[in-house]
Formats: sequence, C-alpha cells, structure tokens
Amino acid sequence: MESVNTSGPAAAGAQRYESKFVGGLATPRTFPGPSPPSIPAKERELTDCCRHLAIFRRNRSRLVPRASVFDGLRRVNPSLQHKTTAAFAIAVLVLLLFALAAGWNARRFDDTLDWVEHTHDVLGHLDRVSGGLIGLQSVALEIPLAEDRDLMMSRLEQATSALEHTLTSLRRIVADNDIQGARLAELEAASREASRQLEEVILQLRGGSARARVWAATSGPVERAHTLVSEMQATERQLLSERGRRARQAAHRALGASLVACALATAFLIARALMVRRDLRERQRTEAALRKSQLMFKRLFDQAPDAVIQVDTGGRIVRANQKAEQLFGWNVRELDGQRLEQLLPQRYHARHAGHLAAYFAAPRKREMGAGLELFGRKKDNSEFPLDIMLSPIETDEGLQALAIIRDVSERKANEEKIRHLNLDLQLQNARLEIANKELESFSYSVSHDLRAPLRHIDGFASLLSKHAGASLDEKGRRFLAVISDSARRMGRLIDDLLTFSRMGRAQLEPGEIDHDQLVAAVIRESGLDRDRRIVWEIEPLPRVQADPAMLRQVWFNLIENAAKYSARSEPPRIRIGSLPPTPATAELVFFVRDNGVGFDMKYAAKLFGVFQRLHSEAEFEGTGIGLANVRRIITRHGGRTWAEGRVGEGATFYFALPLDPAPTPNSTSPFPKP
Amino acid sequence: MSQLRPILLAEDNPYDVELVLTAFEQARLLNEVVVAGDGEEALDYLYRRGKFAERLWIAPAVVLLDLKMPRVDGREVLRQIREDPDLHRTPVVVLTSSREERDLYQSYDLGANAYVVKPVGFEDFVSAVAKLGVFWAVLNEPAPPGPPQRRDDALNPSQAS
Repeated sequence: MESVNTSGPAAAGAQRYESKFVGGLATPRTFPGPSPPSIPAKERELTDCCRHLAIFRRNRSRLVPRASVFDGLRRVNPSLQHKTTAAFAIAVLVLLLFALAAGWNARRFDDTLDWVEHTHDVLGHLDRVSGGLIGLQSVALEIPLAEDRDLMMSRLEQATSALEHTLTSLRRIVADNDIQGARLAELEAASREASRQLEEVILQLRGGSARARVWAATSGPVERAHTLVSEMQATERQLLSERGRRARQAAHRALGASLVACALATAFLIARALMVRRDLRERQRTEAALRKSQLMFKRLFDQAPDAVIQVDTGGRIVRANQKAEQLFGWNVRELDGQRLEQLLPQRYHARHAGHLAAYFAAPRKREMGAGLELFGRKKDNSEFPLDIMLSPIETDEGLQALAIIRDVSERKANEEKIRHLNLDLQLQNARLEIANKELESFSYSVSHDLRAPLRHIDGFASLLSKHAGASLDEKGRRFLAVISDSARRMGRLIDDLLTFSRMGRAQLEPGEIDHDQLVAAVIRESGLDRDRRIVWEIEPLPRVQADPAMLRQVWFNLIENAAKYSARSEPPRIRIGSLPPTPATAELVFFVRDNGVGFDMKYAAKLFGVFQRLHSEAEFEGTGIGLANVRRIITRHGGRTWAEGRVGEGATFYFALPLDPAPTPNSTSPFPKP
Repeated sequence: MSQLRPILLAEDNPYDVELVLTAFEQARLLNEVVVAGDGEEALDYLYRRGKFAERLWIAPAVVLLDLKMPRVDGREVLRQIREDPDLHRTPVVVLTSSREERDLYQSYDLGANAYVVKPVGFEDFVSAVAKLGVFWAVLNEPAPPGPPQRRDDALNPSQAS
C-alpha cells in the first residue's frame, strides 16, 4: 500500500477503510456459533442483498456524468443550418436581381442617349437643309441681277446639289420615322420644284422684269420647304426632349437599383458580421463549458471515491486515478499502458480476456456486483474482493470503457457478519421456541406424571392408616398424617405452578371491564362478604379494557391476600380504590389496602416472585403463587405492579393498566420478570 | 347376576389400578373390572383378540380410560371406539391426572362421555372413583346392541346401504 503518495481526505478515508477491513475479516473467524449456517439460507439472503444493492447502485449511477456533454457539443441543429443557407441564397438572389435591374436600366440609358444623339444629328441635317434652302433663295435673289446665265445656272446647280446631298443624308437617318419620312419626301419634292422653277426662270428670263417672276416662282415651294423643315425640327425637338426624359429616367432607375443593391449588400454584411460575432461568443461559451466539464471530469476522475480505470478495446489501461493507485498499490505512471489483467489474479486472466471482448462487442453499462464474485490483485499479489461497473465511452481514440472499481472487502465482511448475526438471531429464536416447547411439555408431564406418585403416597398412606391405624401409636399416626399432608400440599403447589404457567400462555381476550361489578362479585364469591368483622371501603372504580377472566384472578388474589393478612386486626379494614391517570404515565392505577400485618419494604421486591413468601405457612397458609399470578397478568396487559407497606401497619398493593393498551405478545417466559 | 356388565379399566400404573379397585371395593360395586395395562390391551379386549380372545365377552358398561399410556394411548383407543360401528356407543370416561386444556379439548372432540381428573387426596380420589363406578355401572342405561341408526348413517357414510 503506497499510502505515502496519497493525500487529502479521500486517502485518509481509504486508510480507515483498510484498517476496518482487516478487523472485519478477522471477526467472522472468531464468531462464536455452534451451528454452521445453512448454505441455501445464506444464498437466498445473499441474492436478496445483491438485489437491494443493485437497486441502490442503479439509482446512484444516474448521477455520474458521462459522454453526454461531448455529444451535446458535437450535436448541430440541422434546421438552423438549412435556414441559414436559405437566407444566404435569398440574399444573394435579391442582390443579383437589383444588380440586373441596375444593369438593364444603364443599358436603356445608353440606348436612349444614342437616340438623343441621333435626334441631334437629324436636327443638324435639318439646319443644313434650311441653309440649303436659303442658298436656293439667295440664288433666286441674284437671278434678276445676273448677267451671266451660265454662271447662275452653275450656282443654282451648286445650291441644288448641296441641298440634295443634305436631303439624301437626312433621308438615311430619318428612315426609322414614317412621319418624318413623309415630310422629308414632301420636302424633297418642294425643293426639287423650287430648283426646277428656278432653272426655268434662269433659262427664260432676263433683266429687271424677271425679279417678280422669280420671286413668285420660287417663294411658294421654298416657303413650303421651310415650313416642312420647321415642322420636322419641331418634331425632332419633341423627340429630343422625350428621349432626354427617358434617359434621365433610366439613369435614375439604374442609380436607384445600384443604391438598393449597395444597401442590401451592406445590411447583409452587417448581419453576417453579427452572426459571426454571436457564433464566436457561442463558441467561446461552449469552449468554456467544455473546459469546465473537462475539468469536472478530471476532478471526478481523479478524486472519485472509487478506483476508475479507462481501458481501450485491447484491454490496455489508458489512465487510472489516485484511488486506483491506492487500491492496487501500483503507481499511476506504472499503470499507464499496462494490460488490465495485471490487476487480476492469474486464474481470471483467460476468462477476463473473453469478457472484455464480449463487452466491447456489445458495450452497455454494466452494474456493479452483477452476480459476479470478482477479485482484484494488488502489486504485492494480495487479493481482495471487488465490484466493477463498466460503462462505454467514446473517445478520440475510439471506443473505450470506464471501469469503476470498488473494494468490497469491508462490505463482504459486514455481510458475513450480518449473515452470522442473522443466523444467530434465528438460532436464538429457534432455541427459545424449543425451550418454550420443552417447558410446555415439561408442564404437561408435570401435570400428568408428577401428580400420580403424590396420589399414590397419599392413597397408600391412607390405606395404611386404615389397615394398621389401630395398631399404631399416636406418633405413628401423626407420621402418616404428615405424609398425607405433605403429598396434598405438593399437589397444590403443582396445581398452582401449572395455573401460573397457563397464565403466561393463554391468549388474552380483552373486553371492557366494570370494576365495580367485578370487585363485588369477587368479594361475594370468595365468601368474604359473610365475614361481618371486615370493614370495606370501596370507591367507585373506572372501567378499563382487559381480559375479564384474568382481571378477576387479579382482584381475587389481592382481596383474598388483604383479608388473609388483616384477619387479626380489630377490625380488619380493606380499602379498594383507584388513582386518576396523569399525562406522564397515561395509566390507571388500582390499589387494595389493608390494615394487616404489613411487610418490611426491604422485601418488597420478593413479594411478586413465584413461591416467595414473607410469612411462614404456619402463620398464614398459602403457596405464594397469588401475587406472582397478579404480576404476570398485569405485565401481560402492559401494566405494572408494586406494593407499599410497613410491618404491623398494613400494606397497599397497586397495579396499573395502560389507558391505551398496547397489545403485548404472549409471554414466552413462564417466570415473571424480576 | 349375569346381567352385570364389566368395567374396562385402561390404566398403565399398577398403583392407580389398585387404588381404583380399592375405591370400587369400598363402594361395593359388584361389576367385574377388566384391567388393561395399556391401550393395546384395551383394544384387544374390545375386539376379543390377544389374551382376551378366549374369554366370554360382554360389552363393558363403561371404559375408564387413562390418556397417557405406553404403546397405544388413550386418545387412539377413544378414536377407534368412536369409529367402530359396533363399539361407537360404548360410554368412555377419561380418567387422568391431567388438567391441561388441550387434553380436555381433544378428549371431548374425540367423543368422550366424561372427563375426570384424578384427585391427589386419597379421600377425594376414592369418593370420585366410587361415584363414577356407581353412576356408569348402575345408574346409566347403556345402548342396546344394534346396527347404526339413520343419524349415524350420515356420520359413517361407509356403512350406508
């Protein structure tokens, strides 16, 4: 026992435990008991004990923390995970939608901008058309002044081709707009008409007279062309403003969508950050709980009152606690990595390997003391009885088992002791019962056999007296009388003793007792009421629950005693009364007092003994059984008896009955309690 | 006086036998007293076997039965008498030293006609036995011999016809 290493109260307890164990083992060997305990009885008892102990352990083992902590840490909430994923997907989808909206709007903005540019282009062309028309007009204005017809013609051609050119390019870009196209066609027609008329004018007319004609020739179509250009310009400007508005709208939408997307992204980021922070805190808490739980486990493991050994599937010791060290005498470091068999006696090794394999094949919690008588082996090879509880644990290294081992030497010793004590008790009971039976048969045979010789003594003494009485002298006749007298007296003694014995055995049959009536009846039946000398002082007496026949015997004995011992007083006084119950005693006290010869209080203890007498037979006749009967009857009712007296001044005999009569078992002893 | 029935005294103690005989003598009872030393002999007389096989047999006026006897005790004798269809009406008086309750109960339960405790005092003893003898041998009218009556049929189903 390496008790040097140990410290703390657990170790102290263990040492006490050990010393007790040594003392406990020695006890059964020195146990005094003549009869060896019967095996079946012992086994039955042991089974019961084991069952009870198993229940006890089952209840307690519920308090032992197990792998549940780790399970809890590993366990994830699947629904929560799904929810998180769904939320994430939705967030991404929403973001994507807004981004798409922004992109689409940006493209629309872009398109609209193209159209605006296009409109500006059209407007530019229209300006140039307008310019071309003015060119035509200026040619027209010059015609009347012109000298050179050819020059004019060329200038007209020049202006007309420029206008045509512009109109052609305009046609290209207004092809998309039917209204503008129609106007353009009209415009082209008007300008061609103007050109043709101008050409005619140039070919036909000269001099100042031509001016009015020219003006007249050209003003109509040109004016018309101008009007058309203006209309087209107005349309294009309207389009421009329309397209500008649309472009702004698209730009606003794109911006709005982008802003919302940004806001959402930010919110999402914040939410995620919060979640991460919460997760971190949760994890910190969990880790703290884990650390605590690990610490608790370690403490429990190290300071458990039982030896705890962690074993892997191969039966190797992974670790062991202090108590294991104390219990087996091996250092913890020595134990690490050892095989578990090291701690078992050699004879169990083979069986143990099988057990271990079977256990790991179907691991479940195994209770202590589950019907196996196991022994452990210490470092010094000494053995001790133990209980093992196995429970499987999941570790990082795979399935292992925790073996909780308890030295049950003391318990075994105690059980042994208890078994012996129980057996002893049973034995004593049996002996008592035997003694009782023997006494019963003794009194039976007394009744049968002892009386016969007495009858013969008296009988034949009487016959002798008849047969030879005449030839005997006075002395001889007296001898015969003494023989007969003694025989008869012995007969009375035997009868009294048998009565007394019967008082102890007979079943109590309680009923309500009217003491006033009972006492009166007893006095009448004893014939004492005819004794005129006796002065009776009888108080009213309370009723009580008791066996009427036995109480009658009590009153008879006490009253007869009082009358007998006061017979020589002048006059004899007998007082019968009772004392009220007090809360402390809760009993009714009755008494019978006389003014007779009394007794010395130093003999008071002898009064109630069997055949104990304070007076000689010659003084007062009697066998001395009466008061013994009184005491026996009252004791059987759960009450008590006592007496007070002084020599020459009378005596008082008391008996007390409990108010609440507890049923007392039939007296097993034929003799009264001292 | 061939009509006088004998008295069967089952008593193992010779002194008691002597005292009983003395008492009968003093009471001047003329009935023959057949003494059986134990229950076995009492049954031998009742069934006319053993040493009584050759005797002239007359049903006893009364059986005075001690309870405690060697070999077959008084209870067993009483039981056999009550179970026998020919003997069951025989008057049986238990004459014993015992005043024990269980003896009283058993005797009456088995069908004893009377239970007398032998007094210790000689005078009382003589007086008691003499009165017994006079009552059962002289005053009491025994049942005439005959088959069991209807009421007994119920008690003895084996005899029912």
